[in-house]
Amino acid sequence: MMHSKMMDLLYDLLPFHAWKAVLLGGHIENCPACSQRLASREEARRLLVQAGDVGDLDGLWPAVSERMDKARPALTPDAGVARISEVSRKSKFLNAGWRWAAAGAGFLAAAFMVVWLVQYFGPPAVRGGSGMAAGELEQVQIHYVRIDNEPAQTFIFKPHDSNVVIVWAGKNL
Amino acid sequence: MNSTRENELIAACLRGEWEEFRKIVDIYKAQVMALAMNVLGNREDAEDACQDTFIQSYRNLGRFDSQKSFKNWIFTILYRRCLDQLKKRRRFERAFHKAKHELPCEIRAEMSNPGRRKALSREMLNRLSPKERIVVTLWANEGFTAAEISEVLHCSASTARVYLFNARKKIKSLLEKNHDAFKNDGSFI
Repeated sequence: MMHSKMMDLLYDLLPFHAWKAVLLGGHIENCPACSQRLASREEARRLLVQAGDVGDLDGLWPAVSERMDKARPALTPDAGVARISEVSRKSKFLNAGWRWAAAGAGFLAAAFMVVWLVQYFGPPAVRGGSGMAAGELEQVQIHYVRIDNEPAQTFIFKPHDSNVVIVWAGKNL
Repeated sequence: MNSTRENELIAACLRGEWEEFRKIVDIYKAQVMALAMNVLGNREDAEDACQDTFIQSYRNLGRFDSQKSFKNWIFTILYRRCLDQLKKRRRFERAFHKAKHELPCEIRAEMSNPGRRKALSREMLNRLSPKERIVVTLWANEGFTAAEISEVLHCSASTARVYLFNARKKIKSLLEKNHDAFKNDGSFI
């Protein structure tokens, strides 16, 4: 009795099913004293409902049959196969379509990015137009501008991709 | 393993002769119902679980591997349906603030012989977990080994042995506690 209680305690202390199973196989199931603390098949059966005890089950088939009828059109093997292949064809098509669309969009985005980078960071010849050389730009100078007989602010601006030089003057506020 | 007759019936169903499915239901309905009643402890829920089990097996018959046991397959479906039923019941009980001490569902005395209530007692339902109930039913009623039980539960054989051991220990302790309540013929009062 004491021995079985010790085994029970040890069994309860083990944290994993695998370890418990080792203890079961290694000792408990083979030890007569420990086995006595377990219900036999016959004892368990006394508390369980047996197949012979379930009584009348005549209502089961009509209920199952009714639900089968509702599901049947889609479940005959041919219909099922046809439906599955149609669905898989559609989903394949959709998957392929999405893949191509995503690939195309990615390609366009990459191409746009390359063009933009070349335009802004590439050599002047690639940037388009002959452009004004740095030396030429330095030659554009405004020494003095007056507006309403008062000294004005002056600005010179040359866009990267153009030969145009914009010069403007503003009143000092 | 499946009998030749079972394999023929399954093959006939797969050919579209769905009327043959009735014979499959007839073969297994009592065993499936008994298992459901032992797990759920209630005839109405057990009938629902049985219906769902047969419908689900009907729907998925094409996926059944004929090299495996049809009985184990159908018991696996039933086991999952029973767990679903128990989850639903727990949600329902929680919603209505049912007391834990109440029997989850009264075992109805609708057996063939109401005098001998060979059903799980209220105490046993409360003591054994659903997994322990199904494991002990498969072991005691169907004569399944731990390896076969593990196929139904989709767990390792060692886990099935642990569930079985726990269930047997609890049943023994229950029987000892209620020793006086048992008559000589084994009926539970």
